[in-house]
Amino acid sequence: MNWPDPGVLPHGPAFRLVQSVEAIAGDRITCACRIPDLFPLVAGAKMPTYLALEGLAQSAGLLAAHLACQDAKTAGRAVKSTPGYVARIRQATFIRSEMDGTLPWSADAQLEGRSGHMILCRGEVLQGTTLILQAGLALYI
Amino acid sequence: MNLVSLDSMGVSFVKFEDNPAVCQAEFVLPEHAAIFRDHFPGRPLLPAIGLISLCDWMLGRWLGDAVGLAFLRRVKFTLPMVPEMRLEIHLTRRDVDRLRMVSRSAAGEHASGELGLHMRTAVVDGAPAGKETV
Repeated sequence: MNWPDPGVLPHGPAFRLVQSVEAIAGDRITCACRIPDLFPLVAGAKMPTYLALEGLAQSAGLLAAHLACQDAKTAGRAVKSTPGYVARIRQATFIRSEMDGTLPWSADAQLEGRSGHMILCRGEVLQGTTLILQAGLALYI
Repeated sequence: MNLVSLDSMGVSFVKFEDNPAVCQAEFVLPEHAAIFRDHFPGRPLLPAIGLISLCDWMLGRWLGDAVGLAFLRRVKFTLPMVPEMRLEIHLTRRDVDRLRMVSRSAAGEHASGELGLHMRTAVVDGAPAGKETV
């Protein structure tokens, strides 16, 4: 399996929520996430659910990088790594208002479309079997 | 829930005004602020969730800690938020459970969108967070 290493994300260790890629199939990725040491936006064990949006965005960024890498290889072009950032939160619904920041969670992102530098995706976050949030994002790559 | 304090984020505010319809605050974001930590090394940008955290802090001060975010809609980030800027955030009531958020600085508008509210204490396991409004 040739899955992307979360280390390709432009985030430093204190803000890199994706710990590993669990699966990639077609236009979909599942990543294992957790709050790193020194993460600046959590004050205790309970954390606001919206912080997990970052894990979903990073997962989508890894998926976009993986697909761009595949495209480049198919076209015989050099693989170029480009950082991305959240350009739009199209919608996000927080099924729960808070989650346990000491436990891992999974982020599942699916590509919905691409337009120029913009990547559209949607996804969800689960902690264990509990659905935490659902969201649609646009990333600028 | 323990919301992170402005001190922990390394952020301070120089203005906070509110009335029943509008809440606005102005924040100072120093280069060394923890809120920029590792996002991204060498070219720090305020993360999207950093802006949402500042809005959440404002909500707590304005409406009380029991009020939280139930949803976000059409939140656009149009201009990067970088260190050393003074960032204004305006929250305006649109409905009983919806706010319009606009973030701007001297450089222009950075972000805007809609925030949905709910009572944190009303959340029941498995039930939509936005079920009970404020």
